[in-house]
Parts: sequence; structure tokens; C-alpha cells
Amino acid sequence: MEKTKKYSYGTKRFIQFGLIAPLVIWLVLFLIIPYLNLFVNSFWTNGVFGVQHKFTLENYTKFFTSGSGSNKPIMVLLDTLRISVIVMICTILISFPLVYFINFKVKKNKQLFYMLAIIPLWVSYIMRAYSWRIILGTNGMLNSFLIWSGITSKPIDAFLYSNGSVIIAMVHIYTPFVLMPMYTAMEQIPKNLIEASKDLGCGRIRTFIKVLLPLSIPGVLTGGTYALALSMGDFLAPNLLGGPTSSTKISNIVQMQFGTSNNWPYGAAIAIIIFLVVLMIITILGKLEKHFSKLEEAGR
Amino acid sequence: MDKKLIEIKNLKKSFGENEIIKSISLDVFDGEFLTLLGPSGCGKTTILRILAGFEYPTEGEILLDGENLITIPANKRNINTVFQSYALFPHLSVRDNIGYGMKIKKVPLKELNERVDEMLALTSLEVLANRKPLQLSGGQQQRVAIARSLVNRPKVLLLDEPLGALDLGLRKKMQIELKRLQKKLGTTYIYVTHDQEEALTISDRIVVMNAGKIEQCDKAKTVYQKPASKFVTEFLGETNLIDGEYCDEENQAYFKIQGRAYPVEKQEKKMKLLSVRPENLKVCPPDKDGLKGQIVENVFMGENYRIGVQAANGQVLYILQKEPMNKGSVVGLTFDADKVSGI
Repeated sequence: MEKTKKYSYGTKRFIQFGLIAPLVIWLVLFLIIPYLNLFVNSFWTNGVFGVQHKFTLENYTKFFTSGSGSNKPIMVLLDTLRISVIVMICTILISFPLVYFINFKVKKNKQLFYMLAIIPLWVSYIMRAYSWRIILGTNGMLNSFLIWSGITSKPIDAFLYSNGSVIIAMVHIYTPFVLMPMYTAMEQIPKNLIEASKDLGCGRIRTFIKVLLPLSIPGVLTGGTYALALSMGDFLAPNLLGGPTSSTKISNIVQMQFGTSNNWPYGAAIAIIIFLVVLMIITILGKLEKHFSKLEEAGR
Repeated sequence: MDKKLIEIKNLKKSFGENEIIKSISLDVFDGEFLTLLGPSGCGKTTILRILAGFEYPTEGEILLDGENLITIPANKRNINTVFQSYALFPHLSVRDNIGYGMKIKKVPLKELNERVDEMLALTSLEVLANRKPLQLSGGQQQRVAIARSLVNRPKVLLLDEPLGALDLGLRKKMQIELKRLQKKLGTTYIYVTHDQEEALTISDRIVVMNAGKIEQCDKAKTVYQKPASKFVTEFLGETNLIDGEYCDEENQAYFKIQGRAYPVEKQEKKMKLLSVRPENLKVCPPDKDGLKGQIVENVFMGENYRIGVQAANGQVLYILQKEPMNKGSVVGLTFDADKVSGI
């Protein structure tokens, strides 16, 4: 009470603003301005001599009409979405048992296990993506092993440069991102609920299905959202591991517009479309997560 | 009441090097309200957890109705627990929380609903049946936790400081409620608390524990009036411990305090200390036979004044009086032989 009296209302507001200012400046500089810039750009016309500041909706119509078959940008977007959902499911399937194990089964050194699980985050992205080329390549470790063990006589090219290799790499890279929020969420589940369930006659499996699984859903959804959003925007993994057939994901098209194709307004329009799609998905997942965590909050 | 329901024989439990329970033997009778009372870390909760099946004893034997209990896993025991923090399932409604145990045991739906309704009525939770635990107050959550356990009709209900998180008024109310439910259903309760007043209020028998051992196990009144050790005396309410010498004569025993002999009840062991509760020390004129002392403090305690009387040897004895007394004045103190205990 003493402290609040010391400052006038105006001074107090000024101090409050001062404290949140770094965050606001960061957001404005690196999120809001770039996106506004993209948004504005997406309505300009691309001319022979660069961008002309003439309003048009052509960039958006082009997205839905250009190309044919699977080359249509809209089809690429759907394909990217499909791959991202697969990545999301795989990362969840890998993370869930691991997080469950660390949280409920490890008695000592929980932090150590957790650190081990997220260590891959400390290795650079490029290193992690390239390592898969070394493993899956024609003369890579996997093929060498298969030939050495006599399972095949010739190296198999299909490992690398396919949707499969892109998915494997992205799952590897994004698993720690899924693992972290999942762990944080699962840590919040009171351990005595397991004992209560046993006390009331439940065995291990039914306790898991009736208590732990429903209470873990918010964490699973948060983690999944990360994997989905990150792999939707990933153009490096398809670039490095996709080869001629699978290197074109939606983010690669955007990258191309700002690079070789030199059509910034079109690139901006696609970026905005991706942004809206991802925003929509995140909102839905967020709503779901909120719905489930509302059920969970009690009893703490 | 006299049928032995649980027999604990030479129970020991160690966590690593730490011996938490040092050879405990205890019988629990059918239908009684037994309280394990002791300071934190005395092993009372560990005993409860062993009975529930969450911990395994290092040594010893437990029989429930004459059958070995230790080899039965927690989920197959006919024993239920009310947890200190309630441990209600947050994603289930009050009704589903209460029905959880019966659903697992595949009780027919009709019977399940009837029993849940009956339990909701018993604990006055009918109107809250469809709420989630989050939407309930502490006292209501507590009642759900009790209902969830009792609805399974366990042979024994274990309660681990179930009222610890409630405020004083609500705690008093719930104590009476718990006792009422226990009398009505005839379930055997094993209750853990560190609150001596709570233990005295609700228990049939009290087991006073200290450092992994039983100090005394007896009826609530006996434990309070005839404590068996210094620890029990001091743990159960305030007392005056007076030094002296015990002498046993043919038909009367005496306790010599500062050269004067006071009649006391005959003791089995030679007592070294005399324990007198403040409410049992009476004031008398200083010239009469009694302990002489000088009033040194008056503390208002609500109903009574707690008055400090300094005896000749410097020890301050406490008495309870309705009115404050003049500081510095000299008074005599006496007690009745049957209102004191020797240690």
C-alpha cells in the first residue's frame, strides 16, 4: 500500500509502460511491421522493372488458378499440410511415451533425463538436417549396413530425396519442441491421482486410460501445435532432403518468389495465405486445448 | 467392537538408511475410530500408506480379517483412502468421481446410481452432483473425497489428515460430520493427524507415536488424563511437570515435592515427574498445605486467564483462572490425587 501511494497515477502508468516496452518494441519491429509489409506488398503489381505500387488482387487469384495438377500452389499447400500433420502425429507418438516415462517412471535425476531428451536442440539445424543425408544417402550408413549385412546387394536410392526423408528429418528436428510443452503440462498432473485411482480399484492400464490420458491431452495439443506450425514453415528440410520430387513444399514456393522468381508480391500473398491457414489451425487447437485444460485445472 | 479387524505385527519400514517405523504392533478393532497421532515425521502416514498398499513394509506382518494383507495389491484391497489433498479427478464431475470405484468393479448401473445418490444425500452434495471439483470449495471437495471412498463400502477407511487444509470453523464442523458418518455406517476409521485437539475430539482410541514407535495406545480420555510418557504428556495439551520423589507406603503412596509429601495414586513404576494439567491445579491460601508460589504473569486467553506462578525453586507453574490475579502476591497450589499422573 505504501508504495502505490508514492507515485501518481501518471507516473505509475509510465513505469508500467517502461517495463513492457522492450517486449512491445520487439513485437512491433520483428512481427507486426514485417507482416504489415507483407500484407501491403501482397496487393502490389509485379512488373518487369520491379514492384509497381498499383493495387491488384491478382496475386491471390493466381494462387488458386495457376499451374496444373499437383503443381498447383493450392495442391502444394494441401500436400505440405498433409506432411505437417504426419510430422505432428509422429512427434507426438515419439514424445508422449518418453515424457510419460520421464515424468512418472523416473524417480531420480528427472532433470537429467529431460536434458538428454532436449539436447538435440543445441545442435544447429543444418547439422541435424545434413546428418540425415549422411545416414540415408546412396553411400550412407543405412545402405552400407544393408549391403554389409547382405539384406540388399545394391544401395537403395529411395531412402533419400523423398517425402519420407523429409518427414524423418522434420520429426527428428521438431521432437524436442513437442516434448518441452508436453513435459511441462504432464508435470502438473498431481501424482496422487494415480494412487487415488489404484485405491479405488483401478489397475495400471485403466488408470492410464481413465485418468492420465485425458489429463495429458492439453499438453499433447500444445506440443502438436508447435510441430505443425514449425513444419508448415520449414523450407530447408525439403530443400536438403527432398530431392527433385519432394523438395517443393509451400514454403519453398514462397522462398522462390523472393529469390529466383523475383516476384515479391506473389510471394507475399502466399505467405499471407499460409499465415491465415496456420493461424486457423492454431486457433482450433488452442480452443481444444483450453476446453481440455478447463477440465483439468481443479484439484491442485 | 471387540473383534480384531486388523492385526499389525512387528511392522518395520526403512527408506534407505532411514528407519521410519521401528517395530510396531497394533490391533485395530472392527468399527472403531482409531487415530494415529504424532508430530510430522513420526511415521504415522507411512503406516497408512502401507495399509493402503502404496508402500511395502521392510519387515513384519499385517492381517486383515485374519488374512495376509501385504501380498494383495492396492487396487484389490477392500480398503479406501481419503487423501490429504483430496486427489479428486479434475476431469470428472462429482457424480462420476463418486461412481469411479464402482464403475471399475462393474457394479450394475442401477445399483451404482442408487448408491451414488444415497452417498450424495448423506454428504449433502445433491445439488453439486454435476459440478467439477474445480467449482467446489475446500469443504465441499473434502466431502466428495469422503463420499468417493465410503461409497465402495470398504472394511477400513484410511484418512490422511483430511481436514488439514480447512479453516478452524469448517474443521470443527467436519470433525462432527466425520464422526456422525462413521457411527452411522459402522465403518472402521484409521485417522492420521498431528492435531491433538482433533484427535481427542473424534477418536475412540488414540495411538500416540513418536520417532517411529508407539508411545501410548489407549482410549482418548485415558491418553489425556493418564499419559504414559513425558512425550505424550507434553504432546497432548499443556501440562506442569513437577520434580520430586516417589515414596510408597502400605496403603497410600506419596510424592515428595520440596520436602512436603502429597498423596497420589499408587504407581507401578517409580515416578520421577508429576504431571498436572493447568486446569487441575487449584489455588488455596498460602498458609495451607500446598506448593507456595508468587504470581508472575497473567495472560488473557479468551475464556480464561493463564496465570504463571513461580515456585520456590524458580519453576513457573501455570494455572487457569476466570479472573486475573495480583502480580507479586503469594498463593498456595494444590491438586487432587486422581487428577494427576506420574511419569
